[in-house]
Amino acid sequence: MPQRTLRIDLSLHEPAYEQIVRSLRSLLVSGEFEAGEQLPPVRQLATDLGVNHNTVAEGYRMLAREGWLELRQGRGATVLPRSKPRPPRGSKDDFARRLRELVVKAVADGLGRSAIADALAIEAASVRKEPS
Amino acid sequence: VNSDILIERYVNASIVLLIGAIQYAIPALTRPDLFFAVTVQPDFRRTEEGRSIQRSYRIAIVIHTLIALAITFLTWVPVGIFWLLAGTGIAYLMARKRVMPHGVTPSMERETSLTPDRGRMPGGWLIHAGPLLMMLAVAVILRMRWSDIPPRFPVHWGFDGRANGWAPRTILGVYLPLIIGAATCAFIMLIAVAISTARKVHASGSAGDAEARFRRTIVLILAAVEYTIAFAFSFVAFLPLRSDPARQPSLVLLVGPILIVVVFAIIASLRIGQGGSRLAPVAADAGGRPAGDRTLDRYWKAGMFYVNRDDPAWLVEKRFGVGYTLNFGNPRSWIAVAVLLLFIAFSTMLPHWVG
Repeated sequence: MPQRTLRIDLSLHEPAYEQIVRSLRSLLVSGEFEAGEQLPPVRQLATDLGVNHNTVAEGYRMLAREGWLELRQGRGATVLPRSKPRPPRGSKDDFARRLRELVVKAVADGLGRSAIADALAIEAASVRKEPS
Repeated sequence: VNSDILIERYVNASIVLLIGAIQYAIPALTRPDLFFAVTVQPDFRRTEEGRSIQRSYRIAIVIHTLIALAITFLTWVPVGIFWLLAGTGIAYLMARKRVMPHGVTPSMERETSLTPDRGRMPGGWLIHAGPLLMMLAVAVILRMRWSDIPPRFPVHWGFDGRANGWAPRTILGVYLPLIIGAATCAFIMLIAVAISTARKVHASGSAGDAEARFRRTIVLILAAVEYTIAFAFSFVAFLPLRSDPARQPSLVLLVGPILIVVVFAIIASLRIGQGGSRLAPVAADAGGRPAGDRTLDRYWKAGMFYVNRDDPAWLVEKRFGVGYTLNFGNPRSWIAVAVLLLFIAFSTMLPHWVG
């Protein structure tokens, strides 16, 4: 996917605001935005994606709760310098469990071990700048 | 037949021919996955059925254009133009009816660019400020030469070349062309801003680049229209300062620049196509579904009027033609239409009030 392109699919069961959060979080984790940069206003992003304003506003609020964005009336969403959060208890085990489920599904679908390893390496490398 | 009437008929015949030619070309200018405003697979238009539909439509356009031309020369001109518009409209609806059974559900993917300069005006603001500055300069010159303007001067001429409309040397009488010109340019500038920030169908890849180029071209054509209008209204504003104000002005100076812009717009449309679709190959979205214009067929009335209350966009790409149209399900579109109608009514009535 080209950098800084936000893409959602309205035919999926996953709600649009969750797709927006997932897509934006992916860009933020990858270091595509510098701290202090502005994201498009809610109205503009909603128009571009053809969704309700509340859908985008909810997505921004979720990212703000996670500490990625600062929301101010009239100023839109600003990217925050996000320090590395302390991982919650059991998060590593939870991640390992979900990853295993994904790997099992991929093997069941016929993907080879090397293809899975390559995909994991690419995804890990895409996180260009880990928060300090 | 009087030579003036003959000239008028040739001008109207040219308009009829131009409308016919545009209608003939439109199916080739739309996005490949939108055929007569119906979402189809991009290769449908190359199938036997697709070719047959387009051929029938074009034959109908040629026949209606020829009939309209005959009417233009033999009877009353507006009847010819009305015939052409009605005939091409029916030909379009018949072609659309044949395409509809081949319609497919488009992709529901939506994408947007998050780069900061995404809504920047192509050409910058300065290029759009030029026409307003030109008319301001004309206003200053008129003020400086106020005493050279006759107390009463002609502003309208009949086909016989004699003046039949007059204006007094008052602020409104002298500056009215510039006021209307400036308001028209400001309105076109707003349209350019709206297009610059309108939703994109493709925000990435070669299709995204082609669409950006299409948008730049449209905005630059609008800028050219602004300059043409500024020139025409400045020309009219200067008429009272001529040595013989009663003499009918040359129409070539007024019509010439407009024709140049129209020819350029047609060439650009033929080259670029709707949304830049003639510049980049069409790629289907994930799942092989066509992207179309990322709106659903059911929101298009007769394929011409987009009415979707749930879509926050108020400007969307036309499905049959080149350019943009309004989302009539959005209240802001109706406000824009009301402002436009008020402006047209105001600029039509104002000269009569002044005279």
